[in-house]
Amino acid sequence: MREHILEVLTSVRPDVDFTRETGLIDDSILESFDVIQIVTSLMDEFDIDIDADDIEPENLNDLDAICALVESKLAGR
Amino acid sequence: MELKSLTYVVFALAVAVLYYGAGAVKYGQRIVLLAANLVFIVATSGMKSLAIITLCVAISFFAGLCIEKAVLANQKSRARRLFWLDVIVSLAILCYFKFFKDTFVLLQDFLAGRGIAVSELVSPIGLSYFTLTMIAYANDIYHKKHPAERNFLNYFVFITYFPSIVQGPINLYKKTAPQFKLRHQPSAEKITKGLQRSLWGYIKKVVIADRIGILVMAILKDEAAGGFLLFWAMVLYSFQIYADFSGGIDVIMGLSEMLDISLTENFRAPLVSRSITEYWQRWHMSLGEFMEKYLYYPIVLNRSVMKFSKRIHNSYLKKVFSATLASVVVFVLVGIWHGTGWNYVVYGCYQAFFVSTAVLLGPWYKKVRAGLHINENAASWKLFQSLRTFLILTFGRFFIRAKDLPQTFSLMRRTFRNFSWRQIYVLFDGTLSNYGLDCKNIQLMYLGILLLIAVDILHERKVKLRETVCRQDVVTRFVIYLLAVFAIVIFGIYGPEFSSSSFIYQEF
Repeated sequence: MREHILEVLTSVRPDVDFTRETGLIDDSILESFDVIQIVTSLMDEFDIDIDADDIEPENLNDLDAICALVESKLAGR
Repeated sequence: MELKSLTYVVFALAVAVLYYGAGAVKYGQRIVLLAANLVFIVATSGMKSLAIITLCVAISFFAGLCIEKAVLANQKSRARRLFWLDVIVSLAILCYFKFFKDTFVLLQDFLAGRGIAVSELVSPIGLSYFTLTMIAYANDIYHKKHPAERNFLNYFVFITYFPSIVQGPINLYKKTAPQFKLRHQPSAEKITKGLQRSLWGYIKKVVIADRIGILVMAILKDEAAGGFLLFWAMVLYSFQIYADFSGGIDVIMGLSEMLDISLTENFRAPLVSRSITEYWQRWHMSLGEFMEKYLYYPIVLNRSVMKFSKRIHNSYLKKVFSATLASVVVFVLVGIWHGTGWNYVVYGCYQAFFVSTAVLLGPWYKKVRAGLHINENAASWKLFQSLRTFLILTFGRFFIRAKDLPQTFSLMRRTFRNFSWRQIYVLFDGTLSNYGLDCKNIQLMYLGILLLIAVDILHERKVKLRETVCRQDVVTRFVIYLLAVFAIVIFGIYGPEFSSSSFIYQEF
């Protein structure tokens, strides 16, 4: 699943190395439009619901956090 | 009590001394802050203002407790109803003072004519700022981001925190409020750095912004002023509003740093922004953060909006529809938040146009740049982008500099009807010295603007200026601080004519 998520992230921002970055939100690497593209792509790919209040730096700052968010949404489905 | 007055400086320093003096007593620092907040509000806008603020804080405090109770009892619809009720009441109070106060005055006159006296309602200080803080607080409790505050006085101290109540930054409970519950020890580093930042803030306000303000006001008032001169006044106004707002924020942040309370940053070198989208990520960041978190994302991820966007056939439009819609709503509301006239609505639409077209036409812009073989990493291209952004913003400021829409259009007509680049000579032939500032003061003003740009560029290059000053030997540091104080005292704009030059963003 990690590879699948990485594929989604890279399709939105091919210029970012998501395996290395740890401050995607805190360091302003992702703009709000990127965040929206990533979130909606993840929702479509994994058939999950992500709410606006899930968009927090701790859920989106790095690949691990994003994987944990997707896993929690899959578990709660 | 104006932020730029000597009374405020003495008051702030006295509070800092008492604050650390009370550190030995349990709750002592919170009591000092509570007293300081009360004194500041009463001294700035009176007892009636304090009463309205207390009412707003009380409503928000009890709403927070009720929302939390419903959330914990798993009563989702009750929690939702309470949350929306609180939001509506908060916005109703804000809208009343921002939009309908004139209507109330008419009603007051009408009743007075019939022998019924209704006392005047004073607009409470900082209402536009703390209303947003309170809405964010209710939203975060509703979404279980943090528990509700149990102690009314703690919540009152947080909302009415005197450094930030005047013009922000818009603080979020989760980040800021816990700091008021800690006992803070005085630290030479924090006090020094806080003083440095406040001094720089005062230089920006009284030496740079207020000096530019004299020239701008005089040029705009002159009906005979030529198009280029009016355009130049608007360029200077762009620098004035930045020096004014960020100067005020630096004073506030510096004072807060001295008290060991960290607030949300409001600026990140906005003068180097290369697009309007980037500008809004660097300018008034706490408002941007609020709008993004509590309006932009909820609109984009709203089920109805997403359902509608899925019906769009064009794949690119499908991708950008919700983000474009959210941008338009956010910026129109940002415009309205700044003021009550239609000019502010148009100002919001103007910003929304550039932000949304950047998304909508992004791929097309990319093709054009590739077609023109533009090297996007070249310094000249970056400089061009920054200048273009600055000019777009300057044009937008016609809407907020004028009082209303007819005045905006009148100013635009005066500027562009007779505009010619050939009139550039007015900057060098002494014409400017007919507008309230003599030659030396104009030179000082330009020096101030250059300093403003230089500091932004250095910040962008991650140069830590305050730490650099702190690393100097004691004599050098003393000379730097002395020069800063002298600059404020000698070159600052004071006197009866200018004492009313309150901070521009305080008016919003």
